[in-house]
Formats: sequence, C-alpha cells, structure tokens
Amino acid sequence: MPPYRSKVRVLDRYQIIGFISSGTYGRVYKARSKLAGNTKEFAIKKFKPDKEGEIIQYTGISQSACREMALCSELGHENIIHLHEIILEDKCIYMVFEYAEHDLLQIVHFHSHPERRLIPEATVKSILWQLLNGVSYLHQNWVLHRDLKPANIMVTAAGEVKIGDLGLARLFWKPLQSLYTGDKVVVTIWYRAPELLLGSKHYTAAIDLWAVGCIFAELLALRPIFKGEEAKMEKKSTVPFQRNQMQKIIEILGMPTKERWPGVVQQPEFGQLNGFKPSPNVLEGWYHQIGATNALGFQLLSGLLNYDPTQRLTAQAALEHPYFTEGAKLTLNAFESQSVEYPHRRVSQEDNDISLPGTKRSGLPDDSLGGSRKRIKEG
Amino acid sequence: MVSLLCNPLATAEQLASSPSLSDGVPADLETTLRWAGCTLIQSAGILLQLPQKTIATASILFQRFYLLSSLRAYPLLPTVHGALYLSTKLTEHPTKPRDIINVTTYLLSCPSPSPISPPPSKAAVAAVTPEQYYVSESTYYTARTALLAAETQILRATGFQTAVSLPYTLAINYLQALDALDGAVVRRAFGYLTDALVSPGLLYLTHQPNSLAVAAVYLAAREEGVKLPGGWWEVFDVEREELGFLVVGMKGVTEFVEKQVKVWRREGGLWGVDELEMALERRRVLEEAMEE
Ligand SMILES: Nc1ncnc2c1ncn2[C@@H]1O[C@H](COP(=O)(O)OP(=O)(O)OP(=O)(O)O)[C@@H](O)[C@H]1O
Ligand SMILES: [Mg+2]
Repeated sequence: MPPYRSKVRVLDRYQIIGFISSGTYGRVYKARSKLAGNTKEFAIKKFKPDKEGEIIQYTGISQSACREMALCSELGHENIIHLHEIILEDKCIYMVFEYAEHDLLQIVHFHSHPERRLIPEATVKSILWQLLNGVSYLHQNWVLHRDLKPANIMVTAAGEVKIGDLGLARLFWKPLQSLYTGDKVVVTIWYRAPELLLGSKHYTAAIDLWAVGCIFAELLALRPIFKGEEAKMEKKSTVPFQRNQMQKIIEILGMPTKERWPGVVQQPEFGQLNGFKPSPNVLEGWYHQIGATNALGFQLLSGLLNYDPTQRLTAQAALEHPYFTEGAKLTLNAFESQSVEYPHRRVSQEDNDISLPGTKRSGLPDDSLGGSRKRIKEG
Repeated sequence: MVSLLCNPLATAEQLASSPSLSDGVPADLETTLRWAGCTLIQSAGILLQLPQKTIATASILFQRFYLLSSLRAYPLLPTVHGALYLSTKLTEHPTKPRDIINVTTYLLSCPSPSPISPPPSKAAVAAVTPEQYYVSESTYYTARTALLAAETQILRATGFQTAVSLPYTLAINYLQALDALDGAVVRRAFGYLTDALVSPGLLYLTHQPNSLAVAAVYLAAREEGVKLPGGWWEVFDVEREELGFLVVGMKGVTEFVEKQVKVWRREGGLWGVDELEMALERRRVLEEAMEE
C-alpha cells in the first residue's frame, strides 16, 4: 500500500485554464499544473454529488465516480485515458486526467461541413485500430466500457486515441450482471446493440464491439449510421422498447432473422419484431453510397455489425482483420498523413470557477441531457 | 499477471509498525478491534443480503485503512459503516446509509447468531426492547455524517486504491482446471476464504488472490478427501512455502475467533472514541497496579 497522502486542494495544485464541458456525471475543466517545470495540460473532472430524492444533499461519492476511480487507477494502456491523480476535498471529488485536444465527435463534426471532405482513410484506419486496441485491453482485463460513443473517444494532439469516460464501465466477472441494477443508465441509444434493444439484460463484450462498428461507420459517413429517436420512459418501472432505433437498424441491416441470428427467438422482446416490415440487408449499398470503396473495410464493418452477438467480431479478431494489413500502411499517429489541422477544444472562460457547487449553472444552456447531440461549437 | 487480478499489498514496515501501535494502542487490542470490525462487516452484510464479494471488499478496505490510520484517530464503527457503504457502490449493490446503520445498531444491541452480538441467552433476549435498536432521527443523522466522513477518510488514506480482487472466482477456476469441481469442496474452500478475511495475519493484505485461492482449495480438497495431482499449486504460481504459511493461517482462524469472542465480551464493545480511550485507560491503571 502506498503511504498516507496528506490533504491537498485542487486549486493548490492546478491553475484552471477554462471550462470544457458538462456531462451527466460532472463538469470537466482544462487545467495546468502549478508545479514549476510541468508544462503538461490536464482535464479535471469534477463529479456532481449523488442526489437522494429531490433534495440535493451530500450522500457520499457518486457511484459513477467510484467506478471510474476503481477502474482508472488500475488500468494502464496507451489507448485508455491516463488518470493522473484524484483529489478529494470536503464533499467533492476531482479526477485529474491527461488532456486530449480532440475527440471523435469533434473530428466528425469538423469534416461534416459541406465544403470539407471525408476523413482520410489512413486516419480512419489508425483511429479504428487504436480504438480496438484499447477495447481489446479493457476486455482482456474483464472490463466492459458500456458507453462507447464518439464523445467519449478522445484523440491527443499527437494523434493517439484515448478511450475515456469509464463512469459506466464495469467488471464482468459476474457475467449475469443486469443492466438495470443500481443506478439509472443514460446511454445514447444510437450505439446500442440490437440484443439490448430486444431486452437482453446482460452486458457482454460483444455490445462494446457493436458500438465500435457504429463508430467506424460514423467516421466513414460523417453522421451516425443508426440515428434513432429515443422513446422516453413513461413509467418509472418499465423500460420502453426503442422502436425507432430498431427501425433505423433494420432499414440498413435488414430483418434479424433466425437464420442470421439463431438466438434472436430467445430475446425477451422478440415479439416486437413482428411490427416491422421484412426488408433486406442493404449495408453494402449504404457503404458505397457514402463514398467508401475499400472492400476489406466493408468486410470488417459487417463483422462488427453482425446481429448475432456470438458471431460478432471480438476486439482481438477485429485487430487481426486484413483491413489493417492491406493497402495504406497503419500508423499509430492518426494525423500523420493529414494536412488539415483540427480546431482546438473550445474552452470557456465564463464558467471556470471549479470551486462553485455547479449543479445548475447560468449562461450556457444545460447540455447534460443531450447524449452525443450536445456541445461542439468550433473555436 | 493481469493487474486486475492483483491487490496492493502491505509493506513490511507497514506491518511492523501500525499507526495504531505508534499511537499507543497495544498490538493485541488492535488485533481484537480489527477482528470486531470485520466480523461486524460480515454479519451486517449478511443481514443486508449483500453478496460475499461486497462483504469481502468492505473488509479489505477496512483492513487497508487501519494499515494507514490509527484506531484512536478514526473510531471503529464509522469506519465499518464507511467501508460497507463504499464497497456497496464499488460492487454494484448500492445500499443506503440508513440501512447500514439500522443493521449494525440491531446487531450490536440484540442477541443474534453473530459472535459480535450479545450472547443469545434467554435473559438477554427478554431484556431487549425495541428502543434499543430503534435509530432515532438525531442518532441517525450523527451516524450518517460520521459514515460519510469515514468514506472520505478511507479513500484518502488508501490513496484511492479501491479496486479489490478476490480469490473466490479463482478458487472455482482452479478446481475446474484440476477437474475437481465439487460442491462440497467449493463450499469448504469459500468458508476458508471468508474466514481468512478476519485472520490476525491480515492474509488479504499480505498475499495475492491466487495464493489465497490455492490455499483454500488445498485445505478443502484435503478435508473432503479429494485427491489432487502432486505439486498442482505450482501451476497457479504458488510456492510450497507460501502455501504452507497460508494453510496454517487459515486453519488457525477458528481458534482465533473463539478467543476473540471472549476478549470482546470482556472488553465490552469498543466502537467509539470514548470507549476505546476508556479501555486504554483501564489497561494503564492495571499495568501500574502490576508494577507496584
Ligand atoms: N482527458 C480529457 N481531455 C480533454 N477533454 C476531456 C477529457 N475528458 C473529458 N473531456 C471532455 O469532457 C466531456 C465529458 O467528459 P466525460 O465523458 O468523462 O464525462 P461524463 O460526465 O460522463 O459525460 P457524458 O455524460 O457526456 O458522457 C468529454 O466528452 C470531453 O469533451
Ligand atoms: Mg462522456
């Protein structure tokens, strides 16, 4: 065990450069170390306290902070965001991460301007490989991320992919851990695997790989491949069937039939599929229509977006796919062959007092509900 | 080995001079207090219907904490509460402070099968009134504040090393690998692993989960008459010497517990600062009397 560490305050150690973003679980600030000679930049995540009922009172460290803390301090990999330290002040917990200048949401957004072009293939390849490399590391360590989406995948100025936001991640020692136990889960539905949409209660590694497939498609198409509208929870106890999201998937991948996915009949919400018109798999057409040409890329994409979770590619298998070995050479700097320079992360000066309680703030619109539809204004 | 299968262990210096010892708590008393804390965690966990993984995690956090902090500065009961509260969140079984506090209050005031409760004599049962285990709003509020402060203390003291890996699943894996998966052996091995949580040798702070699992499987198989191939433990990276040490440590727990129950009943429940200070004072007086 490390020796006892004395109490420090976040502002003793760090100078806040500005406010980056407000998420479900907290607020993120950009900061610089006050230590002489340390020129590195950091992202400090300040966790919101958990609420007990409607009254906001301190009820201890939030569960999400607990998870992120326990996992991040154990994990160490070049494609997982590095946790530098944790600072605990009275009733407030701060996690200090290495700073990443970009994220995939921002990169996709930058390219999706009409006058701009597709993301170069070498960049997509590098990002996807590094992403899979990080996911493979997590899975080897029995960690499921559970919230992979472009906003949570960061890229440093040096073009290294860093998977972030392990606030929902869980160990899967106990594979029968239900999705809905414990706290409520607020995951964007666009990256949600079909088995979850059909009521499967159990998270598996394959669910993260579906999300990777969606992200791969988004890097190519510059828009989410399955952009469904979320059905809101009506009653507290029942989880609604996400019909629209399922519809979007079926429009491109066709019906999940018994032939393609033998286990589909055992899904709790299998009956819901009767409400959809049978349609064919048009993924290949979609792939060409968005301007992609690499046949191996298509093969890899279909392997990741396989309906059957047991046949879906694993992270390790995907890393070994010929897509990465044939054609343009794989680089570990995603921007190596890039001529464009991506805008820096926008940092706001208005709301950068890290010591304020900050559950509701003024000025900026409340973007804590929008999943990945939030944020991003180019700076 | 993969990082998530290892635990941070106590260093030799940490074991040799605990903060409580330096703070004037005699070593034998510290051992008793640690036992009491872990026993309360285990019993409360059972009443709260928490899985063993949650209970074991709480015990290990509790033990790690007192490796780094003094029992005089941080009294026992709030630490038990804080460790339980934190571990329920870490293991996906979030439990309200209220439930934790209710359950420990009950266990400490009413006779129960737990060795930490008053002994279940007829007279004792008759003497219990609901007032004794009713937690009033003001008592609850004080206990809750202490629980939350203890949670923070545990995190800070342990340097946020909250990840705990446990040997239970490993024990099953090993038995499976040895083609000796048998219900009776598993139950016995789990029993040893749970016993080891209260061991005076702080086995979970001095040995990695694979070694603990091997030792528990070794004992369980031997006692159930299941033969395993010679030298099998080496396959799971455990040396004979360590195995021998752990076997003795695990076997000794039953006797240790019997002794602690007596000591604890004599001392009379040292859960708070005042009670501990009084016990220390009693010892001082006794020692002086002996010297004269
Ligand atoms: N290390 C970092 N470097 C730079 N920016 C970061 C870093 N970590 C997080 N951010 C920014 O802050 C945002 C929110 O962080 P994070 O996803 O960890 O928090 P969250 O509360 O879980 O948010 P959400 O609910 O949006 O997922 C990220 O999407 C990213 O824009
Ligand atoms: Mg996020």
